[in-house]
Amino acid sequence: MEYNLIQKEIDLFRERYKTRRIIEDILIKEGYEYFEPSSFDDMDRFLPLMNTMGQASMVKLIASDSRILVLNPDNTTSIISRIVPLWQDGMKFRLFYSATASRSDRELGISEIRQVGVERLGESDFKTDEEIILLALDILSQFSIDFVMEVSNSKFVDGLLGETDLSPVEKRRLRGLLYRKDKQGISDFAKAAPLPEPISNSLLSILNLQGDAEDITAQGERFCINQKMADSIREITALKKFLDAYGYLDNVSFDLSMITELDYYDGLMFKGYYPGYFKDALSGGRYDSFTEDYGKKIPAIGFSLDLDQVTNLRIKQKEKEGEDFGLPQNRRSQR
Amino acid sequence: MRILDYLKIAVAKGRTEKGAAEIFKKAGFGKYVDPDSRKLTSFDDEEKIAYIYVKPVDVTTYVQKGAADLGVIGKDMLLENSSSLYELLDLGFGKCKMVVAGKENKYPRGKEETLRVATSYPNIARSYFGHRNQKIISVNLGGSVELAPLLGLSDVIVDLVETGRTLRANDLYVIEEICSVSTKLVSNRVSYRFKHQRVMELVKRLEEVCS
Repeated sequence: MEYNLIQKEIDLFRERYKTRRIIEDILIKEGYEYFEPSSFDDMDRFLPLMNTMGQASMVKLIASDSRILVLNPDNTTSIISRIVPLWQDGMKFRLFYSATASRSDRELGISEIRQVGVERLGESDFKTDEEIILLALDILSQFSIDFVMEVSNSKFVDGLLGETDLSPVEKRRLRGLLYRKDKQGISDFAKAAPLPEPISNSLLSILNLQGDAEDITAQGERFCINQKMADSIREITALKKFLDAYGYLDNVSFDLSMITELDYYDGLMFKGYYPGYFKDALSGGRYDSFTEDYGKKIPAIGFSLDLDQVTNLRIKQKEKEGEDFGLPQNRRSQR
Repeated sequence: MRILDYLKIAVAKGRTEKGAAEIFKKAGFGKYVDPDSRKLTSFDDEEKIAYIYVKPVDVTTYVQKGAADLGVIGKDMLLENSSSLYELLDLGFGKCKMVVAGKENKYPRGKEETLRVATSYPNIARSYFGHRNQKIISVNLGGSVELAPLLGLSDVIVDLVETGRTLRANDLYVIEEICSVSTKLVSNRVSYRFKHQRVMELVKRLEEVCS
């Protein structure tokens, strides 16, 4: 949002500050500690991101000694790249940040993405996955009960592609087609590769594996050809039961063919949307393998929230309901 | 406003619009679609669909930013705008090829030289030649790109070719094929999730008449 009046600008800052405080209070209460990603770093630090994000979307700076620096393009990567090299076995961290990531954008020039997010490091059990997604749902529902959370498990697609002998470049192309849910493209790719029939059939069918968890796990089971895929179904079944117990099932839509922009998740992944906004408000997942690019594989899971979108949502609610708009019940404090 | 609960479809004006009208009608939609009308919107109150007619270059913007839920647009525009929209269905018309063409059927310059490329698709050209490690200077034109090599403005062109007639008429030859192009039904990620059932019903009905 941009305003031409100082008071409007101050109003926006106040609302953004309040929004941030609401989220931070929840996180601090849950035992998360504050961590500050650096605002810029050596470009080398973000090499593992290049494949997915593309170098063009990083905002570069040249230091006086001619080193190329970039403005922090992704908070998670910035945090991981600082922690993993110093990691010792047995460590456990619950961290949160409130920071700005910068991206170079063809339309906007440079865009600032204000995020509040959490990273949970050192815990690989499924209980941690459950706690993280519940925290994400609680935060989303804090601002509006009208939202959808897309949930998936990357092991399903990874397991399936693991059965092919495609090169990394071809795999990336195929993932790009899945990302766009391009059925025709996948079918053309499968014919040209060529992929064995059972695999190409599964690839085309997984685009339909979405919606109700029971439906998709029943159908998904038929396509499982290895342990990894079976694990993904087992985890989704367990997650469904867990979310049901907390009354969130109506907000959740499962999608086994989900691929995310920064394709670094392995296991649980999720994206939250509010109606009327054309970008996800929240996204996250488990990304153990991504930490390996920084020297050591450590259990890691987290999510980030688009602070500007949530602030905008609050301002709109305020305009609609007057100054004393009531926040939906905080489910977390009720428990 | 009635349009709020309608499924909004942005259709590229021109040839795409005519092809879309045919397919939508075949699938039982679009009774109210008149490609010859000059109106920029038309409403199907039975099916609760609003059709919005916009310039082909603008379709991805309308859908991406949520002004429309769905779009009917050529794959060339999706590639040029590096769209992240869901490509739910190949509508099976508007089939053509994106090609590199020139005055001969081979490249006039070696890889060590910079190639001048005239095109209305600078991003597609840059990405294609980038992968081949070929340096280019892109000459961006709004149309009639076939003229460029004839007048010495460029060495080659990157353009859409349907029958090849325009190329032949201007003594140009296809050097390489970049990719096939056809018309797609696209959706933004949020409408796909919030209006999933209606979107999938539409896809299913269109799919039946496309194949």
